Amino acid sequence: MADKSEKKLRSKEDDEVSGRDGEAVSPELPVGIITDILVRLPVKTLLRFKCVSRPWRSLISDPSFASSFLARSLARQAVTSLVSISDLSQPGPSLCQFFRLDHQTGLCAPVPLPDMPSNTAEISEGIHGFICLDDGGLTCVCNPSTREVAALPLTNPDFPDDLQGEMSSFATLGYDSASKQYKVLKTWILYSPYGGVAAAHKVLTLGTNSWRTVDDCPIKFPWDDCISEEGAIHILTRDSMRGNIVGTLDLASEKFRMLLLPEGVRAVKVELKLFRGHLALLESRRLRDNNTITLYVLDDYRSRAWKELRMVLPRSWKEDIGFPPRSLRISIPRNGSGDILLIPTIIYKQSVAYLFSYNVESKRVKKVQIHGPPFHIFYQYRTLSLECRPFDLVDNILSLNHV
Amino acid sequence: MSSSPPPSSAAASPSCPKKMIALRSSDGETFEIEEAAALQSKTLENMIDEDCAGTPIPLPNVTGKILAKVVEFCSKHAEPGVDDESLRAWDAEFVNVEQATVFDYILAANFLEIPTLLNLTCNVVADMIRGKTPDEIRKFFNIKSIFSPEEEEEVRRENHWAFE
Repeated sequence: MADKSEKKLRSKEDDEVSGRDGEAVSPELPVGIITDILVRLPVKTLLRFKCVSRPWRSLISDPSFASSFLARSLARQAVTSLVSISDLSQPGPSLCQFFRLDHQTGLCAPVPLPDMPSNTAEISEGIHGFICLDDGGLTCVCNPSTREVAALPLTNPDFPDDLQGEMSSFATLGYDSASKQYKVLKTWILYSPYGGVAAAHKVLTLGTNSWRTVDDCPIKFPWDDCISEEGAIHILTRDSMRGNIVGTLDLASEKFRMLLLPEGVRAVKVELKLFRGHLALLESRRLRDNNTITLYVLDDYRSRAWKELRMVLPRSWKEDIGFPPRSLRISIPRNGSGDILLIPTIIYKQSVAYLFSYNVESKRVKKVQIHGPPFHIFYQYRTLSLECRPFDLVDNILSLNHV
Repeated sequence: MSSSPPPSSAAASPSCPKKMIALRSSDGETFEIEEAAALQSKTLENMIDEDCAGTPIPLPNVTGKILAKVVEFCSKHAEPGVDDESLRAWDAEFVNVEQATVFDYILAANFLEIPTLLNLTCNVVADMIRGKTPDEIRKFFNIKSIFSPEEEEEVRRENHWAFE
């Protein structure tokens, strides 16, 4: 509750006094109450209100205000996703645009973001709405809510000079709940022409300038997938000795732990998800033919036991849409209703695209047509198909300049 | 009107179970409120535990006009058997008043620590100001301190998309 402010006694007549324009004069509200009101407003409105006064600008820019704002966002049920749509049919850098996709109406509205430094960047979903982009050299963090993109300090893997070969890099953003800081993990994998593979890993705390080397990292192969949860980053990858693993970086200690995948499950065939707060492996290759989605859920990290959860969609789910969906990406929004979303990976020009929503309890599938004005911007390139990728959308007013 | 049993808080005094609490506004008016309704206010909850003598609790920060409405709000929210939808509709009517009165409700809810009323009134004000320009906001909250033109320009430039 806000601090109680001193208020002078008012007589009954005061309440009836009107200003010259006939309106009653409102009492002044203390700053704690102003905060309580502002935290309910959308990001765009708040950014506009920064120019009301210096105290308001200071209040809205304050990291503790951003923290309260984020807590409210995370407590709300997510009904939209951030979707990136890319035109991959063009040689060279592809055009990539972002949209908000409403789960209930299927409406796709553009989210114009500043030009990313490179259109060939790999995008990874971070946490708290932030996304991370890496194009091999430059790594950036983006907050789609404030439409800010910040380039991180450049760094190199520090491989020995005599080690040459093709190199790929991967990066993602996580949140260290202990220190309340955001950290970025970057991995480089170098393929020597003689057959060897070398790996390097560094961590940067957002808001600082220097990358730290991470030792004893079990990851020696390219990332197959990654996911961030509060306090940790999980990487799905292969290991030459142990097979398929999940490497987990504890963001407080900056130390890695390792977990084996269930017997028979291969890293290339599954994706990392969070299902009801638990780490899970999603297998969806039998969705199109057998209507089956399988989740291997890790109830408890210490037990290291994965529990298999098989979901069979009603056979009718893909009828009436004219053609079997070529491929669907599965999204399990963290603060969503618990429904599993099926979003087409490829959207074809001249045909209708659908968003499916599967309720795990009722086992029912809802279908909604995806529509919205902006697909035409891709068509000028004589595109036939567009690649679509969903990310969790979390309203977050934290400015990348004030992290 | 049914009355709820007294709360089982550690500070409750079982020797003087009260059903009606007396409140005195800043301008000397006295109001009676059922204990169950009064417990909607954390401030009153603390005061009730301390005082058993039956003298009206003085509330120097709240006028009679506003206190009457606050008593009405708390009584309604303490009523058993009201479904969510009716209560929401009742709340909407309750805050369908002019701006100055909503602000008075907010200050009273803040002083008396009534979370339901504070939440309701803050939402109302948030809805009122959502579409306003910065200038309209200054008038609304009677904000005098402003930026220099250069400072304001800098803020606009930082987040220019929000102004489109």
